[in-house]
Amino acid sequence: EQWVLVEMVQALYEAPAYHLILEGILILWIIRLLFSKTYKLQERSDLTVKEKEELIEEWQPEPLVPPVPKDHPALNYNIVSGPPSHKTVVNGKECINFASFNFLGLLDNPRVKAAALASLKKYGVGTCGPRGFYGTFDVHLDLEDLLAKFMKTEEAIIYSYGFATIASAIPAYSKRGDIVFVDRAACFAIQKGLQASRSDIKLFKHNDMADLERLLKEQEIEDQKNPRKARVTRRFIVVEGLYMNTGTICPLPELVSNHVQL
Amino acid sequence: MRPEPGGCCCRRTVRANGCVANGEVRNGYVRSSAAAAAAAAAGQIHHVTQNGGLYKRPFNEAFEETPMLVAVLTYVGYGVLTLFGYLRDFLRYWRIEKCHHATEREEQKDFVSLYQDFENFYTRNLYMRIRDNWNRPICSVPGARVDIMERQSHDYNWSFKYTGNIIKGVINMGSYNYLGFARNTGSCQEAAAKVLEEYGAGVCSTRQEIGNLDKHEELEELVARFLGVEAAMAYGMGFATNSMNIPALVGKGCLILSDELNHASLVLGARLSGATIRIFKHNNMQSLEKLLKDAIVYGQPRTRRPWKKILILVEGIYSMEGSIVRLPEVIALKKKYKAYLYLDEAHSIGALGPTGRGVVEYFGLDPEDVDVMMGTFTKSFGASGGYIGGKKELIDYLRTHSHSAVYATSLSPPVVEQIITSMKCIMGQDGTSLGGGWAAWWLTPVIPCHNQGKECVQQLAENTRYFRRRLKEMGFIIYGNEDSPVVPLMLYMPAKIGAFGREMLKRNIGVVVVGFPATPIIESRARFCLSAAHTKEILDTALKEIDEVGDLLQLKYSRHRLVPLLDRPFDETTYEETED
Repeated sequence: EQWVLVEMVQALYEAPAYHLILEGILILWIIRLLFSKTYKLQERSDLTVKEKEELIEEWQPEPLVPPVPKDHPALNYNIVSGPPSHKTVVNGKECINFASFNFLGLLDNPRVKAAALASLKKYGVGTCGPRGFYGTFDVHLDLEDLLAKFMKTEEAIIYSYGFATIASAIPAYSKRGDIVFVDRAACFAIQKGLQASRSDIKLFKHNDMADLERLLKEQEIEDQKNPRKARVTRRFIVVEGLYMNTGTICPLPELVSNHVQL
Repeated sequence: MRPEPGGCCCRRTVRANGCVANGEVRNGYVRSSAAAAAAAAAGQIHHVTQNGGLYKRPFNEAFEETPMLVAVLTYVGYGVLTLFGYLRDFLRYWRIEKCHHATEREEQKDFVSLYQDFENFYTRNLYMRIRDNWNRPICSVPGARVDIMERQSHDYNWSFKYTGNIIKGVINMGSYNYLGFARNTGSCQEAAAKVLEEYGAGVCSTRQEIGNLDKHEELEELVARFLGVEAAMAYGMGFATNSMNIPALVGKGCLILSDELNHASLVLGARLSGATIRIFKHNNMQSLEKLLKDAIVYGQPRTRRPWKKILILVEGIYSMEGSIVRLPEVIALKKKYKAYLYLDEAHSIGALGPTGRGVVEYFGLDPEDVDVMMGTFTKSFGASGGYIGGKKELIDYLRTHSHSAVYATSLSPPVVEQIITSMKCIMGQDGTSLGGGWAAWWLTPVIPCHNQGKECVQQLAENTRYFRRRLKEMGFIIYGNEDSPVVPLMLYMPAKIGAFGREMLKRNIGVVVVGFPATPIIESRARFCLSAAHTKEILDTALKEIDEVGDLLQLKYSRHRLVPLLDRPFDETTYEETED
């Protein structure tokens, strides 16, 4: 059947009034939308060059460092003259040394000094390079072998700075997404290593094996909920042998049996 | 004639007496205008000349573009190696080939593996093949010549055996020995030995507890005088200086603008601080300015609050590129936008500048403009450790708040003495002065210059210019600034990394080769570190061998042939000639 114009006009006359009014409003609305400006979702007020320059002029940064009061306890260090052995001269006064980490007293052992002197005469003071670029000496390799034998492990590696050892070792193994269980009293170097590794950190109470077990069991429940994720997440426990912050020793036998079990 | 800023300033100029100049002497190169213009068009040498008067001397830095064929072949090379890597992994998995790499113990077999297979693909299959070029053990002082312990591998570099032979007298172009202070004889070593007897080998305590010796105070006062700053503080390790002090200076709510190619210690320090990090293109001042403007105008992301402070992290000499930071422009920007500048002079202290005071002296600027001057004692002073210098308020704050002062052991006394003696030597305070002149430089026997501190600095500058010029004449692609003692020579292809290292060792020269991930994947390079201890004979021998190996391995990629200048010593008049 063909559309005939006459029939269409007739249908228009016969339509109810509300229908016509509605259609008319809709047509007017469409025309309005067609002619109005495009609508942006986020109005970005672009600043003029002059405004930007004013902002740059106005901005005042904080001072690079806040001022330190003159009587800050850590500001003026104690000056030690002479070797820091068991009797040492601090600020001009002779004192018995209960402050340095000289546990075996090897700091003024004549054998140690003689060996150091011999090495100084052979190699000079500095290594002038990292281990990869001609900074590996035969003495480094000898020390690593000795350390491995001493600690009864397969191999050992040495670092030139004590702080950096654990702070570099942790992020080497533990990456983002891995889980590390750490004692609350862990030293600052461990904390920095954990921060650099970006892993999930779970703290357990100091030397409290029950707390650690609780955390491990919670982790096990989590693993069962999401086995695919569990298969790629590594887990580590970080403890210190002798805690620098509290002076206690970690309960290693219980820890090892715990660790093997889970 | 006034040079155009940022443009090539080689034009035909008519001199006052009417004759036409057809070229210029610039820093010892005679370059004809036409060739230079063509070269600039074809090879995109970034050649910045006087830029609004900020630079008091020409700043010649060039990073020649990788030739297209070489880039394609490099990718093909890596592709082939990757395929072979997959093949070998397959063979290892099916136990057809013996598996050498570290595996877990039997009890831990059901643990999640410590190393993901994919992460270590590169190490297992590419790095292992050429591993003998790194970690070469030495057994003598790392001076101009060094003794390397020979080692062999019967299972393709998975394990090494020491044959017991020692390769003696290898020319050392890998150690950071810029001023030749790596010695086991002489006044530095004697002083260090005396202090070792007196104080012992270590300190066993932190700075804030009982580890602050009078020697440390002496050292810090000397460093401050050396740099021309108000105060300084010394730390036990150069890497740790950065990673422990940047978190003390900035925190959350601050902005760090760091160069693309900054060292890992700066990156780690910036990450540990918790501040927002934005990266600008390497040595590109327009990129830095844009970042600064956007940071101040738009503030912190989302909250739009203003930043608490902005810290710009740059290095004096970038050790992988050999480029020098554009310090005058950075300081101009920092003053305009009120940002703070942290300058890491690990390689440039002692090596640049007429008296070895570093990159600030090289550009003739005021040390007070740089807020935080950081450096290390490892490279030019033959010791270990790092320092930070600046205003007294800054150092007071670091003495109380730096992580290193609170938690880490201080410098060991013999090391401190070595630094003090070598620094005094450079400053000329041990009674020596400028002496010798050109005759001494040419006729000196193979003893590194030692008691003439200032001469060491000059000799290093000489060696640098000579070495770089000769390598460029031979046709190698050399990156970086003409005055930097770090000379990267481009190798590009992965196979040539191993080949170059081994061939040079066969010819008794020890070089450092670097590949991915220290450099971008196609830009592997060999890096030479020049030293004041290298005499002209040593350099000539090295250059001859490099020439030979370059021909053997087809390393002469450069398409800009420079006319070799007659060998003449460097003097200030070279600059005058360009002021025509």
